[in-house]
Amino acid sequence: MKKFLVQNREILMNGMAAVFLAVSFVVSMIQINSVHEVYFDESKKNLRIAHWQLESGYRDALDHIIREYEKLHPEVAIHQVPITEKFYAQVVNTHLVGGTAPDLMEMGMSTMVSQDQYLQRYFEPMSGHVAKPNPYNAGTELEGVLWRETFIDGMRTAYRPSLQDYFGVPSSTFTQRIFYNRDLFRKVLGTDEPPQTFGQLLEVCRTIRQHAEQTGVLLVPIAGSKYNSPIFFERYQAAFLAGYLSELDTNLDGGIGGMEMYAGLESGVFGWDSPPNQAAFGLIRDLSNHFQKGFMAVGREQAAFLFVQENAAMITSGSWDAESLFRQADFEVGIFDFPMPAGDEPYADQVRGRTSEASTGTGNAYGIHRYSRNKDVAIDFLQFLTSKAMNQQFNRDINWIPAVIGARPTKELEVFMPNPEGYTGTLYWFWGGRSRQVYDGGLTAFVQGEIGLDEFGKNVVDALQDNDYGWTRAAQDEFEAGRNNVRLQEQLLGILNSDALFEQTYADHDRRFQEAMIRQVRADHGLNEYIHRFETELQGKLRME
Amino acid sequence: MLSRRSRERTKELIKHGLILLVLFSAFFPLYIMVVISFKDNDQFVRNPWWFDSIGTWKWENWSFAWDTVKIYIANSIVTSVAATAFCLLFATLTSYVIAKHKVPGRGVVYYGLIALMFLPGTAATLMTLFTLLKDMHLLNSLWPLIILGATGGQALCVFILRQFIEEIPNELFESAQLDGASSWQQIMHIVLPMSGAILGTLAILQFIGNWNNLMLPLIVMRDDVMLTVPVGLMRLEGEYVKEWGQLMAGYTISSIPMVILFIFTMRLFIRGLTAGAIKG
Amino acid sequence: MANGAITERAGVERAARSNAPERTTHSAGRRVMTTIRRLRFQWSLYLLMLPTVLLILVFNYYPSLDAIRYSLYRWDGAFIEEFRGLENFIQAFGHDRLFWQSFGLTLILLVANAFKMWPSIFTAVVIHRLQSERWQYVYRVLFVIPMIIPSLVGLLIWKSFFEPMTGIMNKTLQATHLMDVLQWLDINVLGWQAFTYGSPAWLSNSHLIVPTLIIWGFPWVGVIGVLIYLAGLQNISQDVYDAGKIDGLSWWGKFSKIELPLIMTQVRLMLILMTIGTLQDYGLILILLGPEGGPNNVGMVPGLYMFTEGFLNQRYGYACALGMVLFVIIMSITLVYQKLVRVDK
Repeated sequence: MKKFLVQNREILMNGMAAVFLAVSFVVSMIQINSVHEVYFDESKKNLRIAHWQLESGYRDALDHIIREYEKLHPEVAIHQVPITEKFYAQVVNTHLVGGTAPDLMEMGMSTMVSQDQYLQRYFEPMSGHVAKPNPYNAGTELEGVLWRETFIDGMRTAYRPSLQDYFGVPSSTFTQRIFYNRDLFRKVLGTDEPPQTFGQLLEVCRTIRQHAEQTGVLLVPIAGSKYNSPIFFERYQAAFLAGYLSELDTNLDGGIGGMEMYAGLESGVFGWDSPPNQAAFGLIRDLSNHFQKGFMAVGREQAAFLFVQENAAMITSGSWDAESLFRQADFEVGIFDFPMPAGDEPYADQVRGRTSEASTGTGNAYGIHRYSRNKDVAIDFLQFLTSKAMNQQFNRDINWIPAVIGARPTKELEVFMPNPEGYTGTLYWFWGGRSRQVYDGGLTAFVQGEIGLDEFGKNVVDALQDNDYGWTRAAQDEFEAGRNNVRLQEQLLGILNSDALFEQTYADHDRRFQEAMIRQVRADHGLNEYIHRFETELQGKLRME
Repeated sequence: MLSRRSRERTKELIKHGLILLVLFSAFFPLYIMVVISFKDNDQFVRNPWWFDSIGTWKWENWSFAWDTVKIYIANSIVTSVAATAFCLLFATLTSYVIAKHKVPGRGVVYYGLIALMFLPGTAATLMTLFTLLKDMHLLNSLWPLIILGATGGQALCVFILRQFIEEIPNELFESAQLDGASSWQQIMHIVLPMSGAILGTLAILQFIGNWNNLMLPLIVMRDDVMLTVPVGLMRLEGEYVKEWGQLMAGYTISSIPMVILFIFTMRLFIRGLTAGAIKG
Repeated sequence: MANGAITERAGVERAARSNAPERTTHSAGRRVMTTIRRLRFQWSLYLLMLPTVLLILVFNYYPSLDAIRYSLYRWDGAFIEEFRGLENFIQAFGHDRLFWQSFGLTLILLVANAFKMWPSIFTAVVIHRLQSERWQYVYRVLFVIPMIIPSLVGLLIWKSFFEPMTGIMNKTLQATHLMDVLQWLDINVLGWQAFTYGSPAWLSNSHLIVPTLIIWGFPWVGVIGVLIYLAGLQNISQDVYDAGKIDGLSWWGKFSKIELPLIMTQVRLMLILMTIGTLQDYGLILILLGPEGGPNNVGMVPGLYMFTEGFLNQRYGYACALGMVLFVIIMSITLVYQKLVRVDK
């Protein structure tokens, strides 16, 4: 027996490999089958909801709402499709094009869910639906109120002026604040009261640094990162630059877009050397001294890690991070708002005031795929999610701010509720993809002390004026996007009009042809194909005249 | 002056030393992977180098990782095995015809295949391929992976198998012909037994290639339950709150099937590579 | 070619018939039967080849040709299809600096990878020169094991090494005080300001990305390479070695004069594979740095740029055009290779 084994060892080994493969194949098939049975259950109405919110608690909270909904509607099965942030754009784009997109998609991250031309093609316009009351608000003070009016911003952020329609339903509101380690503050500063002015904030930072140097422990005042630090920058920049709104906002839409910014620059209304701008960047530079070294090269996870491991005393982030930070921290976490320079502190003369959050829009919006098979269920689920009771519960579970009027967050998060006092409007020093890169790269180098403000400014302005990549390219992209948009609308209009024409001129048997064509369009077989065939048919018929 | 003997031995020792050094650095990532898989984040930060005491090992990392990764492994096994099987089946048929029968057009087929080996499959074709799959309604399913896995391997397999089959003496085939064997039977009874080794090696190469394929599943799959191991691990790694222990446990578990396979088929693979390398 | 088939079959049949008892009747009929059988036989052969042919036509050739067609269009993958002629190419050659910058990085990687081939060769030689066969086999097995780990896992583990705060790379450098050396270098020679803070971010600092891409995978010994070289080495007969010993070759001499020349075929093979791989591959960069190729797109390679332009920026037509350019470049390099490396010793 032993001899047999030894002699045929190799064959036996290979045989065992084959057996192993065969067995694992069968086992895998069984496993896949059982998973697919649950996931692709055809007997139920399946709804897929995609998002990139991988923060702790979100999936569970959403799951909770889903279970509640499924209890009310047992014929529905809803599946979450959470996708890593880095890949969300690519997956959503690919599957929108491929026709396999999930029924509900979180709006953001990719061009296809934010540009008009794709929105109108792939997403369900909501104006009809949001002009009716939300049935799930029955019995509350929001009963009978139009669905869109139940949101704290009236669904303003979901509205697309150029398309004159709503394209998503929000579920939360987001604001930003500064988180701080109360225990650490008490230990180092003797008090856990947060700083009230910017000067005080700098003082606090300096004290913490001294403490760190004396005790030799790794401690930085503020945890920065490529993700978190810009929140500071934008906040303070806005406070300084808000004054330009009246001068630059030529189309009066409440914001300063790329073209308006560039026009202002070229016309000399403002420039890099304008005092508010210089002050803004000066303040940002001073603040950046108190982040950890090399912070712009670090991701948001590392910054959070620093804060949670008590190696940083403060960190800024949005309300969406509150839950993660609370959960991971072993210490008491406090929250305060961004302190502005005041009195005779440096930069106080140039700052207009705090930034208003009146225009804080709602976010975390979910759009409905236009060609979803269960559109009515999707709409119903969204109504459920944004009913006052459910929205409050959902946002409390994840420690976010609700989007529905009257819903309150948890007590700790009350500080995050939007504060409408202050100034609005800010401008961005880039327009188009490439100038944005130059700005980002320059900002990184500037805040880390690698280049000076003048060099930074020169690079930024040069990039904007660059012939290949600057304003010309940005304008061209905008024009092309607009043209695509208009082309599609023209096509649609043309078809609809020709349909009507057709209807009047030809006999009933052509109606079947029309209906078939319309069905084909609805089945997403391609507008081009439809047009082509339509044109051919039309030409054929006209030639018959 | 050292004796010849001891000089020889020192030289041997040096060689062993060098090899062990390289081996050590090659094994190091794996070692770290296993070490971290038993820790939670705090332990990892404090001491990433070697194991903590056994009492503090976090076995739950492994159970959590298993739950997450098992569907990826299942998908990968199914697609890799099926793709490899189809690939070898079709390649054997084709190389048999090309090697042993002078049918018109065989040159076209053969050179058409070989050209593919040298044609770089750039990302551009990925897009048109995607459109093709979309029109075939094959998105978000395992079939594209199987089909394309089979297709991709045709060129190499036919190339190698053809050379191999050509060297099988014609008399074997002719006598089978006289016995009235059909092509199919000829393949079954002559080609397969004789090329067992090379088929095995090719199977392993194809399996590894399919297992490691990243791009296609990345664009074709939408749902988490459909992902294969590479894409699944990649998505896991992008999570916001990284639980390093669970992540490393997941990596380890994902490597196990391949390791098992290799342990069994080691000799075969090495032998096949040797033979192939000589011809190559 | 058709005649050849016929004569061959006829020859076989003639041989067969010569052993069978003579039949004089119906020779014409038999010829018809033969023709029919031949045709049916040939059809069955074509049928055998059909799956392969079908698969490569539909899934390989068709997408490639389609890509050529689309490179002349402005195509967003969804519904915009506008014929643009050569405009995509004009833009790629004239106005797209990022595309050409990505080639620059590829060249650097090519050179780096060429150097990274040598550890495999050396290792194979050292294993081969061991006197004990058993140890050779043991080491072979041991080498294979770390490399069967799926390449992605290896890559992800290396990625974790590069984490600034918790990664093994920085911890090792700090423990061995190499970090101080690097800091000194940084301040006095390089001026990158990447090391001055003690825990450099290998994957997020634009200066460190190229070194990271070169360093990863230490010690750069790949199992396929080692096995292939070993196989080649084993073909070298003992006589050559004996001759070498007579000539009094040192260990380096043995390597440069005997072993290296005789495994040139394998080295060439690996070189070509490596080149094509480096020129095309972008999965590595995608995983390490993300779709934009890291900060300021420093890590962008042509393949990744195509992927991003297509799947992320919805410029599928432009991406196809880029693909064409890349294809031509790779083909040229491969052809140049064939010509150059044809010089056999």
